[in-house]
Amino acid sequence: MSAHHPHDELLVSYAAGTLPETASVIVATHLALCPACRKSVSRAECIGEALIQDIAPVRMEALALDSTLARLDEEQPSTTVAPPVPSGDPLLPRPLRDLVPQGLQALKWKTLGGGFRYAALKADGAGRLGLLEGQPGKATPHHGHHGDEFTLVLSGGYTDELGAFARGDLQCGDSTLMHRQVVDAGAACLCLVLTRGGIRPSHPVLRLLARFLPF
Amino acid sequence: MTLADPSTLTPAEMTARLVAVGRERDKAAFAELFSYYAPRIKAYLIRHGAGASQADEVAQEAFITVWRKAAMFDPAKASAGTWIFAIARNLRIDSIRRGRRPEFDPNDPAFVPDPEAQPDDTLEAEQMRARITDAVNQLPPDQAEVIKLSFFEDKPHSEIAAKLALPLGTVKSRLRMAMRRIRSTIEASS
Repeated sequence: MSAHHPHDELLVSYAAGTLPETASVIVATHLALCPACRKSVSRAECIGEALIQDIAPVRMEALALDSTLARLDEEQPSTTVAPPVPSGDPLLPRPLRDLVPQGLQALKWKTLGGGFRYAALKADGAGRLGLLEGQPGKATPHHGHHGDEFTLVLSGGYTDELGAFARGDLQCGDSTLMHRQVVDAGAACLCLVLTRGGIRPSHPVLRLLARFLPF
Repeated sequence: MTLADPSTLTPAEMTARLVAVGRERDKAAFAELFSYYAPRIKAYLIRHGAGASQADEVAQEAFITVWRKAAMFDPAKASAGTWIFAIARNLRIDSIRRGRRPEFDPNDPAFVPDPEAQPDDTLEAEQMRARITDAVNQLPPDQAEVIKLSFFEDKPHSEIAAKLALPLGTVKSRLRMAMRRIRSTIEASS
């Protein structure tokens, strides 16, 4: 059971269907691992229903019901099949796995130095979504952020000033978060990361180099 | 086909209609659900920027999906209205926003299932819906406003904040307060 969860406003936006796709992917992947947040989302969906009950209805076109009834016996399109789980990879939950259909090894990884590598997955209005992997015992430089940063642990774990994070935990940081993430000893740590605005290392030289980071 | 006036059906009766659609492929029950919910879904889609005829088409499409998926509807987990709302929301994202709705898959090997007994499991989906509806109707106006805008405007909270001329932090804290209030209403009465 995860110990770190998305804020309510993120779960409400997911239930309302107003998040950009990258943010929805990270929330839905957390939901696959977190029964407690699934419950919050279903409560938020009840709110959506309560609001829709209150809305002034708009009359449907005259033949709408008849033409819908006439289509009920049409053949159903076949449903999509989940991509297979590549052997050797940590188990990526859907919907994330749909973005990595060929498995982790087929992604284009960029080495960041210091024992970290990054693979970009998707970008939109919410930010850039990618996978970040750190080797056991390695640490990121102490850094802040120019915008929101969401980190979902998929395997292994890390510790920073705010606590310990393991599979299923989602860390929601904003521009006030300053931290140094240390990967747990023993196993590599794989995280799904959504960043907006890039990172801001505390060290001035690293701050210059941060311009060349892929996120 | 003679139909009951759907506006006189209680939410529990709506849920019974949806179960009948799923189990018995009951077209009369389907028509009742359509008559009540389709005009509301159409209004919801128009609020999200659809034109009237597109909203009509998407609302019809939502009901084709209701028909196809009704066998999977579980009345222990959701009321009919909540379940239909989720279908309409997903189709809105597909057809109006031209995006994709990423969702978890309960049949996925990586999916972590619900623990067996949960404290408010005994609270039936219908009771849950009724209590949440009451709680929403009793929210202070400033909290109700941000909740409404969150569901009816396809905008990030930063834009909702700009629209209301409020700091983003205020919008977020009103939303959190509203959710806390709703949660405590559910917990106090269970």
